[in-house]
Formats: sequence, structure tokens, C-alpha cells
Amino acid sequence: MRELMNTVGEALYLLVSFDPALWEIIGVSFRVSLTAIFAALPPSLLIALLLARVAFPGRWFAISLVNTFMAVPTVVVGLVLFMLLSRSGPLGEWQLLFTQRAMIMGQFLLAMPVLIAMLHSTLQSIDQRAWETARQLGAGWWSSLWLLIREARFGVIAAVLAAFGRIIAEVGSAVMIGGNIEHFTRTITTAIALETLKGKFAQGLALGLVLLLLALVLNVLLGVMRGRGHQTVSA
Amino acid sequence: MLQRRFPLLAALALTFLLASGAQAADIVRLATTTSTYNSGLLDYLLPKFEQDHPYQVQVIPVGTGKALRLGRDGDVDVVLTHAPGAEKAFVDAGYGVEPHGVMYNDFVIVGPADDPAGIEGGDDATRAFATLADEGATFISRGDDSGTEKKENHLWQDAGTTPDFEGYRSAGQGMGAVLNMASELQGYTLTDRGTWLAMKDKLDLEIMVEGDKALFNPYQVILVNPERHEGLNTQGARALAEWLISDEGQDLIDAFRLNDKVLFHASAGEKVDPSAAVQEND
Amino acid sequence: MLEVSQLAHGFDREPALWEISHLQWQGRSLVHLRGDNGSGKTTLLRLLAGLEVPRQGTIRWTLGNAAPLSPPCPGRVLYLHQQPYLFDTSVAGNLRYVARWHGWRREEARHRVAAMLEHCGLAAHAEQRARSLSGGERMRLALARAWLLSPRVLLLDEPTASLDRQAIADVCTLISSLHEAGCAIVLSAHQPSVLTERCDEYWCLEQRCLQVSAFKQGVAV
Repeated sequence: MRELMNTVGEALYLLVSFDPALWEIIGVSFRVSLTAIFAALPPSLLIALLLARVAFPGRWFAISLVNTFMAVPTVVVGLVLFMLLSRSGPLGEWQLLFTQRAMIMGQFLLAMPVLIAMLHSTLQSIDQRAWETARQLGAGWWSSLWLLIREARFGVIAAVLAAFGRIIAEVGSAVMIGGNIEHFTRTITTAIALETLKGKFAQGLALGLVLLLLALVLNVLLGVMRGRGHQTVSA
Repeated sequence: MLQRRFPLLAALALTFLLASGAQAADIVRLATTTSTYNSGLLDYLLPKFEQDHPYQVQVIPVGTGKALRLGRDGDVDVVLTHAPGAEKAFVDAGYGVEPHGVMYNDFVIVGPADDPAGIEGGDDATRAFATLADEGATFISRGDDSGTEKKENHLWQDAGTTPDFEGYRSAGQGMGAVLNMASELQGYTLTDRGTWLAMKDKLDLEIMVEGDKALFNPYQVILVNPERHEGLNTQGARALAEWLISDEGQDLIDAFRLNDKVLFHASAGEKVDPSAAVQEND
Repeated sequence: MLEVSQLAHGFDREPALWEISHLQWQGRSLVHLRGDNGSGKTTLLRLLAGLEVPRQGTIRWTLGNAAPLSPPCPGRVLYLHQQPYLFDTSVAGNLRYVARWHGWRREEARHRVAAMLEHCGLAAHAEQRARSLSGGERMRLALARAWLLSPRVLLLDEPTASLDRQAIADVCTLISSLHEAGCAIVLSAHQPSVLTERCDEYWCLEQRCLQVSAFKQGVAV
């Protein structure tokens, strides 16, 4: 018990004393995940708009496919990317394996299905009149699309928060294609998963607290956004 | 309905009783390094031990640092590790008792076939490490506080350099993952011969340096101090340790082959010469 | 001028709601489109605005000196939903959207938006959230937003259906002044009101046909 209390104390000290090694790991995590989410947002928005607004044959199959991808374990994404990026794989020449870019690619792939699924449902709930009104008032095609996204902004933010929560907390693909290399690809989750093996319990706990705090903030924001999103839809 | 289900429930309950009963008495928890586990040595040895003894051994393959930590916390009954310095501290601090040398193997330095740092063929590990640092070569370190990393750190120290050169990467992972990474990144790394032999067919790497006495790698078995923790299976642990250093255990270790190569040399109670290991394989 | 010929439309595979063999409208009057619920008033207005593609027949708008056009004619022939859609922003923001889409310069936009809000009696609500407005105010905002573009024709779907007496009077005044400013208007309403009394032409959807009759002011229906 005393051992545990000591570890907790040490973890808190690492956090508040801005231990450089700890905050470097946190920095890598945020850099990778934020880049991935912002890279994934535009294509996800387009696909979601397509699924929500355009009736084309096979649409329901496409939606089921997105939902299926959402359930793919992160290690499977990691495995597939590893095979693609490996020296013996088809994309081996890019020499991306064990770099932050490779991790961003992995998280990009993990974020897309979550983003598309959530954006799809939020864009679907937008009133048909919004599009018609914009077009009647002389808005161009892209302006009207942008208007739809603005009208759904709380839903969009909620989707971004949810996807961000998923990718920053995932460990499977981060270990496999990032490699947990110190100063380069060591993220919060890979550090917890692998550094704890070294007996660095305090650091693991401190990083765990960061994730916990992040989850709390994300969920509170998500709650607020969902609330406002509902208001918007019902108004 | 309930009556119909009763035999099933009873059977289930009985199964649990038997299973838990078996667990409490007979399980020996062994924390050991990834090198002994990955090479297949334990899979080869332990069934033979379990045949003649009323114990079942659960292996927890981790780095030496974590293995010793598990021992210190009383989470395992016995450790089998290869980091003489850390093991000495472990015993001196009273966390472990009855240390016995069991066997040794050796480390090798591996790297890409085109050898950009030009260390291939040497037999001086220290000089090879100094060259790697000077050249800023890509080097993947275990970085997981394992016996292998401790050995690596000694070599950096002996080479009079610190591992902060441009190509140095600390992976914080097991030997297999690090070898894969070295192969993918075409870098150098230090590996135990067992894992190397087990994996080399899948790797795009070659042996660069071997046979140096500095690459000697002795294994010790140490019981977790029963006075520090309750509920340890010290009896079983001792049976395992004594069996490992018995004639039977030692003969089996010597007879173990991986890809037809000798990996481990039984060395209970003797001083050993690591260069012998290499010569036998060549 | 509007020219319609051989127009028919219905939903999916159901029989056509109505058929209009020929309709010519100069596009200056204030028209009351009458008809029972379900007679297809909304459908006709949406077709004229180009929000639906007719099953058969043609619709041609001739606006000014330009060549005849098929709808939609964005910004010039405008349809307003029965419950107008207000963008989820402030009252002024709704107008600023229009300014942005038409590339007005910032100064000009600010000036025209402010003038329009003033004109429609919404200046006091400029920075209020559009969706917090009352029913009558919402309709006035939708009219103001449309007016900003000085459209040639407005197609209003039941503009007074769910409003109270005072709101109807306000909306009615605004529609009259829009008409006086040179915007032709077709409005549907299934019940007579102060607004329909001001109309100077009646279109009636009855027995799956459109009857057109011109009335002078003050003639009872």
C-alpha cells in the first residue's frame, strides 16, 4: 500500500514538475493524433456528405462497410500498415516504418470510420430546406456544402472529439508501426504499455492520469456539443 | 428446469474446485528474460521438469529489469536472468536468495549486409561500438532495462562514449521487436545469439562481431526471498532451481539445439569461457 | 414572364396531381394560389422555383430582356418554405450569408444589411439568434433575406398559415411593399385573409386543373 502511495506521489510530481521526458511523450502523442485528425477530417466530411445526401446504388452497403471498419481492432490496422510499409512490402521504398508519419497514417485510417459514421448521422439530420434555401439564394455548390457543414457544426465538433479520443488512446497500431522509439515515436499509450515493463510505474501512472484527464475533458465537451447539436436540430 | 440444469451446475462447480485446488499448490511462477523464452529453451526444458515433479511452471517472459522487479514485489516465485550486476544488487538487498549460475550464452552484434559503418568481421565489441558512435550509425537499442540493454550500456561505457549519437534509437521493446526494427531500418543492434538464431531467416541482417569475451552472457536462477512475501511457492521454486543445476538439467541444457546450433552452455558451479561457445558453432 | 405548357407532376408512380396544358403570366401581379389541402399547391410552387423536376411539360421564365430560362433561377425567382429555413446564426448573419455568396464588398454589405433590417423592422433583433424569433419575425426575416437580392418573383408557400392576427398584418404589409417595389408574387393560402384580399389575380387548383381569373380589388370571392 505504501509502495502504491509512493508511486502515485511520484507520478503527480512528474506531472507538476513538467518532467521533460514525460512532456516530450505527451507532445509526440498530441502532435501525431492532431495531425491525423485534421488530415482525416476533409475526406471524411466529403464521404459523409456523399453518404448522407446523394442516393447512389450500394449506399447502404457503403454505410455498413464504414460501420464494419469502425469495429476493426487497431492491431489489425497496424498489421496491414506494417506489411505495406515494411522494406519487403509494396510501399517499402517510402521508408516510413517506425516514423511519426507512419503513425499518422495509422491513426488517419482509424479516425476515418469514426468520423464518417458520426458525420454521416449528423449531416443526415440536417433539414433538406437548408440546402434548398441556400441554392435559391444563389449560393454555389461549394458554398452550399460549407453551409451544411456550418449548420451541423456541433455534430462535426462532436465527431472530431470522439475520433480524437479513439486515436490518442489507441496502442495497437502505435506500437506496431511506431515502435515506441524514445524521442521519436514514443507516445502516451506505447510508453504506458512498454515502459511499465521497465518498472517505471510512476511515469506510466502519470501518463495514465493525462489520458484520464483528457478523456474527462473530451467527454464533457462531447456532452455539451451533443446538447447543442440537439437544440439545433429541434429548433 | 432448475432440476434439469443441476447436473451441469454441479459439474461446473466441481471443475472450478479441482482447477483452483490444483492452482494453489502446484504452480511455480518463473520470471525470465525474453531470450530464454524466445529461443524455445524453456519449452524444451520445462515439460521434462514437470514430468518428474508435481509442479507446473508458469513462465512470464519479460526484460531482466522487470523480471527482478516482479521478484522484488513477490509477484513471482523464482527468476532466471542474465545481468550479473543487477542480480548481485538484488541478492544483496535481500530480495532474492540462493543464486546459482545455470548456463551462459553469448551476444552478437548484427547489422545490415552492406555494413555502412564498416565493423564487419571484427572480434572487438568495444571498438565496434566506438566506431558505430563515431559514424553516427543507425543503432537500435532495446531500451527496456533488460539484461541485453545492461550489456549494451557496459559496452558503450567501455568504448568511452555515450549513446546519444545521431542514429541511436531506444525502442523500449523486446529482442524480437528490436531485431525486426533493425532489419526494417537497416541498423545495427546487440542481440543474444538465441533470439538471433531463432529469427535470422526472417531478417535482412548479418552477424558483424562475435566471439569477444565482453559479449559473455551468464544466466543465474534466484529464488525470491520467502521471508519478504507470504504465499510464495518456495518449495516448488527450489525444486526447479535444483533441477536446473542438477546433472539431468545441465545435460539437457547442453543437448538443446536451435537450427542445429548450440545455444546455451551448462555452467553450474564452473567458470566459463564465452569464446568456446562461438567456436563450437563455427 | 412565365410560360407553362403541358405540365404534369405527381409523386413516384401515383397519377399526376394535376395537369396544366397552358399558362401564361406577365409576372407583375400579386397572385393568390388557391386549392384544397393536398391539391398540389406546394408542388406547383416548387416546380416553378426549380426545386422539383416536372414529370412532363415545360416551364420557361423570361426575366427582363434575357432569353427564356428553365428554373431554377437563383436569386431572381425565389421560393419560401411554409416554415422558412433560417440559418443557425444571428438575424444579421442570415443576411450576411447572402451578401457573401454574391461577393458584395464589406462596406456595401454592411450598409445594405443594416438598411434591410431597418426596413423590415428587425433592426432591434440584429444580433439575436435567428431561431429565437417569433413566427411572424421569422417570416419577416426570410422575406428580408430574399428582398436583399431584389428578386423578380417570390413564390410564398402559405406565408400566414400559422401566424396570429398581428403577425399576419405585419407580414401582409411587408409583402405589399415588396410587390410595390416591383416584385411579382405568387402566394398559396387555403383560407382567405387580409393578405389574400389584396391579391389582384387568382389561380385555383380544382379538379386537377388550374383555373386563372383576374379580379379587381374589392371584389369578394
